[in-house]
Amino acid sequence: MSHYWVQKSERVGRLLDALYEKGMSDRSSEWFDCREFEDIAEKYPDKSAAIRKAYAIEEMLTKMTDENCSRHTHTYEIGEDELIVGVIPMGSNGLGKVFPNYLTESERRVASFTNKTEMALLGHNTVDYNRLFAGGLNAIIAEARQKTEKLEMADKKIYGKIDFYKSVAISCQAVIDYSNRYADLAEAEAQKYEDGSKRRGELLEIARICRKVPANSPDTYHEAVQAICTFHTALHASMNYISFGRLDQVLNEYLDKNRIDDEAYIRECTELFECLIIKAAGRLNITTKYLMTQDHMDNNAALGIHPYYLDQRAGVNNFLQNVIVGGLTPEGRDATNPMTYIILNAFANVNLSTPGIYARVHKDSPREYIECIVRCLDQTANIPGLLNDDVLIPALTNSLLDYKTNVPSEKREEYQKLANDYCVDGCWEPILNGISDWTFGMLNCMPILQCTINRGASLDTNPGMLRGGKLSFISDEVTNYVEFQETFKKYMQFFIDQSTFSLYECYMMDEYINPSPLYSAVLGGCMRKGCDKAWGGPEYNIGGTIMIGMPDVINTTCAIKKWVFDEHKYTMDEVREAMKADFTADESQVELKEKYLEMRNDFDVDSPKFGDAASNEVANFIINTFCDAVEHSKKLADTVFLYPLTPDKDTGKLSFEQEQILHLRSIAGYYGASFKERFGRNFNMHFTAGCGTFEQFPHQGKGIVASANRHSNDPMTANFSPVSGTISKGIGNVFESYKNLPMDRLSAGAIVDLCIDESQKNEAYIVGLIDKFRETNGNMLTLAFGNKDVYQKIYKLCYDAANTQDNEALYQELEQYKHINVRVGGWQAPFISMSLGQQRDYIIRITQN
Amino acid sequence: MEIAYWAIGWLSTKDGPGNRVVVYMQGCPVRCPWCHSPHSRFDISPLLFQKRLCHLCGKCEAVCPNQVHKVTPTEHFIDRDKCTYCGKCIFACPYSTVAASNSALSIPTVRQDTSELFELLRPQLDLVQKSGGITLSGGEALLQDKAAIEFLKLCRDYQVNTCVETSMLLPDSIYQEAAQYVDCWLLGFRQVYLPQDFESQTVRSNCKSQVAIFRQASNPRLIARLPVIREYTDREEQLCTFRDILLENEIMELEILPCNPHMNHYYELIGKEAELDLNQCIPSNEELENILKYFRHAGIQATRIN
Repeated sequence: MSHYWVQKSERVGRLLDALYEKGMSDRSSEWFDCREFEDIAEKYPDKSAAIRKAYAIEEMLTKMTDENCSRHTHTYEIGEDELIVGVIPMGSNGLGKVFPNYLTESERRVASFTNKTEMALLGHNTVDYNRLFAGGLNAIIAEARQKTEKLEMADKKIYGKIDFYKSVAISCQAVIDYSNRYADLAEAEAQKYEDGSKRRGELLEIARICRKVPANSPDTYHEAVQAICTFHTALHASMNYISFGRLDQVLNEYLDKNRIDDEAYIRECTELFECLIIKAAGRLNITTKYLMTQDHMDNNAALGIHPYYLDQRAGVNNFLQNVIVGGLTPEGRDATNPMTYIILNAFANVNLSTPGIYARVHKDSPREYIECIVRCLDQTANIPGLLNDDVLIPALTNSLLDYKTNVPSEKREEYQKLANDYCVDGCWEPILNGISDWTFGMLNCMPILQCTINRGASLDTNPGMLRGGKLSFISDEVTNYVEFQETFKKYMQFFIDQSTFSLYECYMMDEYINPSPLYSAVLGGCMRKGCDKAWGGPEYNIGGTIMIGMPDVINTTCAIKKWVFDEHKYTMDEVREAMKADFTADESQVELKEKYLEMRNDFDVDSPKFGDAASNEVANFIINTFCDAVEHSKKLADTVFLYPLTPDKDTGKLSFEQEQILHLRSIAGYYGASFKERFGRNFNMHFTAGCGTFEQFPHQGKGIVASANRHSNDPMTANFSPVSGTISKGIGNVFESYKNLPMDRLSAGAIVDLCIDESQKNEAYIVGLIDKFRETNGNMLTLAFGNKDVYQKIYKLCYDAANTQDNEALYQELEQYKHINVRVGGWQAPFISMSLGQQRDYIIRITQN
Repeated sequence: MEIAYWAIGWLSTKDGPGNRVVVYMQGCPVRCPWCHSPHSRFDISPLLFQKRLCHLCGKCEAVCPNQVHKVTPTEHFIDRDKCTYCGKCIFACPYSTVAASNSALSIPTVRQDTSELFELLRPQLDLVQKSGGITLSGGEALLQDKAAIEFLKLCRDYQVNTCVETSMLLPDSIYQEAAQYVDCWLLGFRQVYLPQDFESQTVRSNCKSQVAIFRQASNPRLIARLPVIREYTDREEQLCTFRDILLENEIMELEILPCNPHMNHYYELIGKEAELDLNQCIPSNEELENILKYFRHAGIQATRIN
């Protein structure tokens, strides 16, 4: 390899040790207490939500650097070895967030109706740091003030825009002030060291950098890394849990090209990047011992009007922050650069569960880049995750084109460039780089299957429900596979319509609950339009629909097709009853028990499985039905919400068709102007389809009756992977089966998580896995190499610790495994921090095939 | 051409260099007492029966035309001598699936055209092409010499590294024909300890001529394999002869295979008594280390395969 691959420095080793020590300790006292903040809504009751949010950001950043608060939050400290400074306050996707209140009581009470609070889930965006670096925050503030003045001088004042620009200026200034206070701290710390000492010099350099960036553009690599750290800290402190994006593309500009071949220089740059990773991982909770006292979660995990609860335990160390490297430039050239290698090297050295690291690969990716990914995987056994440009770029382009073919070539080229530049959000969905807002709906495919075979009702064991929970319209009993397919399509459309329409509805409430002035300052489109990210500001809006449980539905449909419709061994009614009964019967019902056992065997063992070509006919049908439904749904939603209705010039009346649209709009509970009128004529909600579960798969299986290879209430299959324990013809055949599936329709990602026995791990084999993944049209892939014996040992210790009063010694014993990270649905996690259910599932997942 | 095998190891690091896809071939002329796959000795595997999966429903008894099965409320008796491998009992059994290892009843032998087998394995071979390759193991891998060679040719044409494990008890002509398609041989040297009263000089001479055959076509990697079965293969004179043969033939790689602790599994499944007492024949770690040292001392690169 022509690029240097360096070991982590002693300094980074010490910083890591300190982080692990923190992660293993009781961190409950480090959380802010709401009472430490001023109530912004009380202080500024007459201001708009955007302005109040900006003042809340200012309050947050001020308290983070308040010496009194920092005595317990430790948010205003510079550690002994640190080169990159700033401390993100405690919080996580699973444990919740603490932030100054900026909503009035009335706003809160009405928001309860929509299940959306000021802390509702964000994280599906990235920052394009090039925007920040163009002139620093000072330039953004100057632009905001200039535009405010212009708007205020206008005859017709657009107060929304004025407030937007004001909120941008307030929040950006708050970040500059925060950074300056860190410069003060660094200077004060420097006084503790002898004149001329190395550490004094380092601290004075930190102070200089913090005064310069992010207020101004960085000029050096160190300045750029610190600017990213400071801004990332401010975003995460202000409820914007978002990703870093394509940092190799951003930071490469700041590498000293004259020293790029100097190993010592590469070592310095790698060390600084490792410092950034450690900073971003600062909120780690590795032991589970003290989680209960850190649970700050409220109903903010609900995604809009449909309550959807996060697996809080699994989300303990999920901060929705990812880095992505490699891939293509917007112009379509290979984007790999020296910084790509430095980042992969740094992630391999540090091997923390957060931030996540993803690598884009394509058919012309340089071999040395692939080798570098392989080296990282070999060293860490679990990172990076992989995305296949050859599949995702065409998929994203088609989504942006709204699946239309008759689009002018210049528009197609524009979208192609955007797709070439894609990155991942805080979970893993591909999104546009720093230019799009992404919102999503998740729905479980199992109820759709249940409705299909149970005439619109769920399979439910509650006798009060007669046929079952009535989830949808009633339909005829399906008696053959063709009828099954037709009925399945109708129910799919029903549930996708629900999801699509709720995405539009949710979009309309964000402005009043979750304005994001700080993030909007650097999100493409917002400053130009004078609109917040939550109010049509971004250049592009994407609504993703993520389907849960596809592998489970494919396996169960394969079994039903074979045993009910093809072989006629069982009736549909028998299958329904068996699924409801978890394929078991009372001991006294000998014949029924035998029958269910036989059926379970037929379903589990003797039916085609997802990940094997034998299931492809069914898999193609299910996936295409899903993608068709998303496209179809978008067309209707656009008709209802998107386009202006213009009365006839002469009569002043709406046409019959337009009256119908108004009628449809009111059915949806919306009586306002079209979105293009409200958010600008270029506003559009592009829809993407994806398959995944994130880390929620254990919760998603609760309340879902048995299916093929799954007992009632068992977890759903993680993401788009073969069901645990069903890979029977080797991973090669799993990849081969994906080759014939419409993976290029899944532009919101379909991630396959594979865990392979660690005895198989070697660089040449990993090369084979990556090449095969790419050549067979894989969409997204994560690999982990695991040791079942070690996992079982950890599970036993965790189980005992959870069920024993005197568990101190057990927790101590667990500490030796704190470095083991695994892939759990949407992210990496320290294995010892996972729930017992997830640990169990992971142990089964390890394949020796 | 049809090839018969009883299992596929989709990914192994114990059956040749690197990551291997392994085809376990049906049929073996040798009767090693420590064999852990006794069902592979036959042209077709005897009916395998996993008692713990049987629910004593009696459906197998009802469909069997040859009275192989006798099911009582508490026991399931199987008379395999009467079995004609028709498979009716497996189809009838609610807890069995053809070719699924976790079935109550199964006959694992698969007969398949070599090109079909290759097509089935090809996606997995893509994965291991750079890190390993294909291994034919046994039974005795080359007992089906024509089919095995045809299959090896397909793999070679696909640029997959080929490896064959053999007892070295087959006729030279088979090895001569196969040699040009084999990149690595896993050599069993069964003559050294089967029968136990071997004639050292004859064995040495036979081995020498065989090794010359293995080497005739190209420059294959030769790895000797020594199963360590206490009292059977670890006698001093055997080890001494083994060492000398390796040195004489410049085979400098040796893999030590401790007695398989799960050796009895397939005996139970085919309803036969194991030929060895497991408790007696598993060597201690110390014994294994001594054997490793013995060969290493002679300059042979000896490794332990668990």
